[in-house]
Amino acid sequence: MKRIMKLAAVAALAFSLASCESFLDTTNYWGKDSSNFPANETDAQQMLAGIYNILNFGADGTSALTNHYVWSMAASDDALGGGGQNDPSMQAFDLLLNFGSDRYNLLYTDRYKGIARANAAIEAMPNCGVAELNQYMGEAFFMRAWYYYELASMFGNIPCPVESKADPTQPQISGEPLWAQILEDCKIAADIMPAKQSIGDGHVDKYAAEALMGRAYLFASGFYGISDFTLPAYENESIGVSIAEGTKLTKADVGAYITDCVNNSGYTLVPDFHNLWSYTNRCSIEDPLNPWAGKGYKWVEDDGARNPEAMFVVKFNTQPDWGTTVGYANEMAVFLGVRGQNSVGGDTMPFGQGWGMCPVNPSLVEDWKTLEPNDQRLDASIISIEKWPNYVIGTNGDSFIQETGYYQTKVMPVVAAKGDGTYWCSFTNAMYPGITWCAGAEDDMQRNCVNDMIMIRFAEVLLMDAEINGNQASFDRVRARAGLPSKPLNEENLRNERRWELAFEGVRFNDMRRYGEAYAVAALEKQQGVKIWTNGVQDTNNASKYNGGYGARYKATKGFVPLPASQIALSAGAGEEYRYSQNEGWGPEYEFAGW
Amino acid sequence: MKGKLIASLAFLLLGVAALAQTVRISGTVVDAVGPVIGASVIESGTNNGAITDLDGNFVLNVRPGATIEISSIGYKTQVIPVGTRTTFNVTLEDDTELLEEVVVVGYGVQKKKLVTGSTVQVKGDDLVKINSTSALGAMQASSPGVSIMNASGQPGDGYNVNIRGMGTIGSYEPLYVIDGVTGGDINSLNPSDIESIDVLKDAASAAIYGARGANGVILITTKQAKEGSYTVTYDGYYGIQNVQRMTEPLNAQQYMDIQDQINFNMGRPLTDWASILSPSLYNSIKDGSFKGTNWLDEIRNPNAPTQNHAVNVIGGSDISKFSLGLSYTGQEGIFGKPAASKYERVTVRLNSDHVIWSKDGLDIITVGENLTFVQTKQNTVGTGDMYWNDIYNGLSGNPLVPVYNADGSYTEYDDLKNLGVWNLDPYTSNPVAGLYYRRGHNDNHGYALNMSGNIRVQPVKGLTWKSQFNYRMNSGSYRGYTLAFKLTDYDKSDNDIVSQSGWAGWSWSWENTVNWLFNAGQNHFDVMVGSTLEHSGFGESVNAQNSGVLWPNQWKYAYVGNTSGDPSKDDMGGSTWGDSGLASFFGRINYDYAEKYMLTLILRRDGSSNFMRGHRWGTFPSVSAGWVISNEDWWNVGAIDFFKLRGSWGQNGNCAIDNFQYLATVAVGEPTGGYSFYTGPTSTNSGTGSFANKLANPDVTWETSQQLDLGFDARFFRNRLNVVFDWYQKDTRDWLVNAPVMGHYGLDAPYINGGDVRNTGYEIAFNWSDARSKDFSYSFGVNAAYNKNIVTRIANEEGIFHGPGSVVQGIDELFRAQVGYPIGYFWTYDTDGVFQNQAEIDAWKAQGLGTIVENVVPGDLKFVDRNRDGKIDSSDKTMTGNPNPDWNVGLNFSVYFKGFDLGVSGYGMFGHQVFRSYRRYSDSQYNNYTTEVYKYWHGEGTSNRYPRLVAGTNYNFMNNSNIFIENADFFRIQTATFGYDLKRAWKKAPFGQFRIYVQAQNPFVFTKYMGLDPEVGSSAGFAGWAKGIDLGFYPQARTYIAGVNITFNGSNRKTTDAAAPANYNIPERIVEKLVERVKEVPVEVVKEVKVPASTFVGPYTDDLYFVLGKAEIRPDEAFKLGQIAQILKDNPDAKITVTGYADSGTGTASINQTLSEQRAQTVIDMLKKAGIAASRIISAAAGGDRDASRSPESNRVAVCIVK
Repeated sequence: MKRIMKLAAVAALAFSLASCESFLDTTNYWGKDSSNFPANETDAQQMLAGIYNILNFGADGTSALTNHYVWSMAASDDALGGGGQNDPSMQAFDLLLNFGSDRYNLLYTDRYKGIARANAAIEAMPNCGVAELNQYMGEAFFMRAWYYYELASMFGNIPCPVESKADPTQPQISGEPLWAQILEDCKIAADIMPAKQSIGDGHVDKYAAEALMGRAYLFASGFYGISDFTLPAYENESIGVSIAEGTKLTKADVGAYITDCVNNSGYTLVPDFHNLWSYTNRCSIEDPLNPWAGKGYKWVEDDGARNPEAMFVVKFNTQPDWGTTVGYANEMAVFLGVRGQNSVGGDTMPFGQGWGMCPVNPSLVEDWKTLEPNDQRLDASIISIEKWPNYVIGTNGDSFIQETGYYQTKVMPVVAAKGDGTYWCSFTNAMYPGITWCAGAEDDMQRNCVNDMIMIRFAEVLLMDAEINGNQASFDRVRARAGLPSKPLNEENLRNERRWELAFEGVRFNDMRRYGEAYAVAALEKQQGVKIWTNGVQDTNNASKYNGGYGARYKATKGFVPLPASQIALSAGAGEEYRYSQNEGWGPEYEFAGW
Repeated sequence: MKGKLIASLAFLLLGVAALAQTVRISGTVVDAVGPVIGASVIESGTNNGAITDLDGNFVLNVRPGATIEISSIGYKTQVIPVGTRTTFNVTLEDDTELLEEVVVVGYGVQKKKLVTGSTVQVKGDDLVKINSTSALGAMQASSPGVSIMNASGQPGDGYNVNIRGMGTIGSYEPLYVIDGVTGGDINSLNPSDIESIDVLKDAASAAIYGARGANGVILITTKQAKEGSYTVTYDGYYGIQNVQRMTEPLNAQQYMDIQDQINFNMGRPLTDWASILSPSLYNSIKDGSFKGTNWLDEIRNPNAPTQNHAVNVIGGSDISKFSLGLSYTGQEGIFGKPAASKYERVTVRLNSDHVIWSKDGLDIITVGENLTFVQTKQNTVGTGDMYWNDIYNGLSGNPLVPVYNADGSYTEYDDLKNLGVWNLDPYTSNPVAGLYYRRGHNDNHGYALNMSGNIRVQPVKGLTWKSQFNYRMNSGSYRGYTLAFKLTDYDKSDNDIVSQSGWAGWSWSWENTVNWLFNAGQNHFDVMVGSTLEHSGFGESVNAQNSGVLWPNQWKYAYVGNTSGDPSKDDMGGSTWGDSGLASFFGRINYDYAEKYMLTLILRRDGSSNFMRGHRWGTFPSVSAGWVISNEDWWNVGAIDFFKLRGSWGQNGNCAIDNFQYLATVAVGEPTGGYSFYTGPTSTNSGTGSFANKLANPDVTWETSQQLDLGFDARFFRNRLNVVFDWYQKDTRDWLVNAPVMGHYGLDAPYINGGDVRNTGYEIAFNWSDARSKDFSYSFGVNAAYNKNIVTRIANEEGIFHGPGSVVQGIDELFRAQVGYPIGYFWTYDTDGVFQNQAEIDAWKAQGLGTIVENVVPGDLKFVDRNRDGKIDSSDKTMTGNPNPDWNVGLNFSVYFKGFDLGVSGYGMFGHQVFRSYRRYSDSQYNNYTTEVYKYWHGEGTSNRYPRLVAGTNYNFMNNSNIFIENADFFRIQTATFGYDLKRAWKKAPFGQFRIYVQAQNPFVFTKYMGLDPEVGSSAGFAGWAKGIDLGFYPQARTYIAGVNITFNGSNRKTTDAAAPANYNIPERIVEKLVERVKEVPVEVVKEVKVPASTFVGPYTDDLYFVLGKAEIRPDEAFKLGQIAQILKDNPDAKITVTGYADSGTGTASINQTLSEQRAQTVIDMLKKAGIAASRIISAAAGGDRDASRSPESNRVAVCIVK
């Protein structure tokens, strides 16, 4: 008994240490959490930056392979797929095929990250004491619309959460309800933001929202055959928005926004089309090897000047670290750069090295030369390898699929002479001597493309004005800048005008789709059989052997890409009734195995 | 040997009182190896006895018809009737029952024979013999069920360890506990510091570590303080290491031929080598003066030294004792020139034990401490994926490029151009220079301090309270330098970059346990309850980076402070390092009945700060039972000396995730999250963004593993053959994983409890050990473990966790975890050989089978159309390999003969596959090949495995298929050792031992695997749950070592002979018992006693034992009554005193008083019946114990003294 007592006494001592629940409480000193964020204007600004951040993610090395911009160029008749044999995903874009079970998952999840950040900002920013709340909120609405525009264009039938809540039962929506949400976000952004042009620092303004509304409206109305969109009801007192149930957005409404943008935005056309693009920068343009030398071209953005035509751009910076966000530099430009040549020796002046993706479709060049032979934009937008005497077809020791001999010029790495016979991989180094890069990125061809990438240009708004409002003057204004006389404003001329003006700017594929299946199929099939080189060996672009080729695949898919297999699988987590349906025309048989 | 142990006690050799009418007998007592010194020879039923002398001899006078008992600690007692014989040559058999091995079971120790769980113990002495830098490496051949796979042969790199299969794709490492302190790093110890390693494999054993036991527990006990005169040991070796097997890249001419072949196969014009290479280079290749560069050989570090020196001092008195160890380890890598791949480690270890208060032989208060400090330094070269792997670069570098220019500088691309012409490949770099500039300059320093102090209070015998406080500190620093260089336009760094970082963190824990040992008759109890509190405190880390070192290209000056300090090139950070706690309560009951039936119950309850309130606490029970069948009375199988059946069931947990998974955290200021808004020239600032980055999962909680284990332990043939068998089934449920969440949440996945896996397997170990004599002994052991790993649930609809793509550039997902398959299996196309001709292609297509492209040609792979849908697509991919071995096998052999010892150990792994690619196919045709390329198809019948050779960016290579998957079965001779103890030849040397030895490590590997090393525990830098990916795996070296083991004893009190087989080493505790036993034996020191004949001189004492709880003489004791009665009758003057006792451990004092009286009365009654007068009988009753230190049975007694 005595022993048991002793035991009990000692055990009690041992267990007296047992007030443990608070011992186990810990505090997170590494970052904030939703309980204390956002609290003030700084937080709100950071939230906004976090939304835009996804633009850089779209431009990083991994995402660029699934980026909306690159996809829409390769899928359209602007360009083929290109790249090396190890880039089957690019060729799959072109052939409207899939590569890999989760080909599009990164793009999909990245865009939803942007959307989730926008949703959170829209809910939280009114409580942060922000002075310019309407501007901030408008940008959040714009960005949400932008990301949904990309997702809706590519996937068509997607969940569309507009609240910051993890809801596994969000249904897939498509067509009018989906596009009405996008249009409503554009409308709210256009309505609430002050009538003030952005200073060009990357923040969007009211007019960018109007332009995006036009772009979205044209696609959705054309593709789905809807002229009036019923907007979802939305109330938000803090920004004075009240959209009642059943409110419609008509073509006339959109037209009015476009008119406002044309008349009041302050954006204007750059006088010479060449001067829009960075290869005309002052450090590269007069290089003796530059085929455009001696023509007096001068880039409008030289030395950091504002481009008066750029309404929405992706901003880059000199901190593209492989460990953080390499997308702080424009990887898309690297993907589209010249493949496997001695660019640092000036062989492909003014363009720098890249992975040779999206080689220009030769039939585009043919059509252009035939239909608009005097168009200055052809020379400004496409370069033939014939301009480069030292160019080696097929590259040195590397593979090159669907090489066509043409490169687009709008989004490219642009080199500039160092003065010792070699070239900076980017003119940025020459224009801003001594500029500091993050460690290791100095003169790194993969990380030095940091000039703005234009996503919406004022010329597109003028063409919308012509299309929606029938404004001949706007149409002529665009043509005149290209050195062309007026033309009647009809469907065919308008379509061609958009094709020339906006080539390689990521809008052609949606244009083709909204013009109807017959148009899209015919246009795509013009890529069949064009002359290409496969690994340096002359060949024809025989897409028909891949699941029937361009036309067949377009008819089957309507231009949509497959939903990521993992998202479909995940969707059934909340119950079989929530399982996403895969887009038509997709299944394991549409897997591209390689060229 | 045993004799030696008590040599100093030999003076106790005795003559013994001779009785009237005695017979003088004599004899010799020996065991299998020689004389047994100090064995007691006692005449049964008396305290008349003798002890054998140095030669095992004894002399004794016994009464006629007597029986003698010969006993000695560690041997089975023999009982021999004297009869008419006068000389006796007795051979004693080992009683391994008495050599009670003790194993560590967590918060205590247990007799091995009573253990009911599944554990394996590896002795420190055996670890030291392997001469591995890491204790884990030394365990590979001797721990069935513990799969230890080398993760990289680079010095200082670790092992991929899992116990009984992969239990999760999260944190699958076992829990390491060093001297009771959880979470230490086993590699921070020198193997010579280790006394033993005990692995708790089954859930029941690991349950005492509840929350963290799911992946098994590895308990490390460092060398403990021991009483006795100082013993100093030195273990040292020096060895040279070389590459065990080289894989040969093509030389220059072969390379050119193969490139020609590729171009020919592709219908391209052949390369005009004369025109694209400079004439001097071309001519030197053609005339054979330049064979080409073997880049792998260029980075080889031939005869890389490895050395180890360890000094241990152990000693002390019975009140204060200590153990001190110092060691240095230095090892260079076999690859890594011209920089270094190197590992150095210094350890200091001290522990001591002090009795503060001792009373009546009971150590009431004892204090002790353990302290280990380790400092490590590692210099590494790239061993990661294809972009950070110097072995890979060595294998794929272009052999046409000379390493050096004529002036001794590294050949750069511009030099190739300047030589005249180089028109081959603008990416042609110089792997040796790349290693030097980019990856060769780094220092990784690590410092770890483990300390603990404890106090043990034992107020009464058997009851101990122990309180231990542990403190652990880890810190480290890194310094790296990338030089400014330009090897090609694409492989360059315009600025040099120096980066430094440092970190430090600490944790403490406090554990309190109460242990109570008590017996109730044959029922033995060992009860332990305890609690621990653990806290990992705030650590800190800081890092900085800058460019422009003021002493360019000088590594020793490459510090951030020595840079130009360009603020635009700096990069710095700092953060906290963990803050977590664990609170635990646990209890264990070890019970056995007569060491025949055993039962262990464990319950542990843990609370972890990694989970939210309400989800914190987990309870982990276990039960295990054992039955020593061989202790049953009816057991009568001569060959089987010991047989124990055991079974266990238990649950363990795993809480190894980052904290705050339950919070909706916001990422602020992360460099990945910003956006730069600016006008004017480009921005040098990435801006600051903030956003919720993670979906909160407030429900996240334990991962649970549940395991059933059935097994047996058996010893056969006089304990020479030892067999251990186990079968288990382990279900790990609710893995803690970052399972993907739905994309439209827009948030990263939190940890969830997301999958289940089942591991089933069995383990068997045979050990034969036979000591034929003092001069000759040998042992042989073989063990094997089979494990099958199947994922049974993954918490998403797909049932898959995907591995990454582009393990080799451009290829699709290679490995995954999927329901129905083993974790990390290789998911690729299957190929069924190579199309040899067009007819085969036509036949294939005629069957409606798909081909990878429409127009396949002879020489293309036959990708198997598994679903026969006429297409080859991802639905045709399947499991073509499993990186987890089915079988792990270990083998040990040792023989000792007159001071010479020979030992061989080896291990093998079977049934697993490795994915191997020493080139990336997509980038460049001009990467080199290895000579395996000659096995590729080059015409009908030339190969039915590898396709035609074309530039790699071809569907045959760009699609993952089984052509990259190889069986990697192997058996490796780990060590072969030959040693000799000079002490044998030079007996007067002042050493206990002076052994010199030579050893070959890894001399042979039996395998068909064609890469550098078939033991690939690496995932090549991809997901941690993957392994078996060989993209240029840093192989294990072949090493030749010479070394010494020296023991110096402060006195000759005790010697140990590490070289001799383990069963020669009598554990210290046995020696202590032996000493006690000798003290106990109540023998009179009388050389010669003259006694009158026929006179009873007495006294004569005999003990009559009783049945438990009753005043009933045990039937087997009854004959003694007759003897006593006879003595009384023979000596009418003598009287008898009868004293009854009862065991105080059973029953109350009053019951015992009554019982003891009754027992005495029973004897008296019986004597009266035998005709002894009551007047001659004196009765007494003691109530309680005769001797509390004795077993309960011996206290159920009546002691009869006749005088």
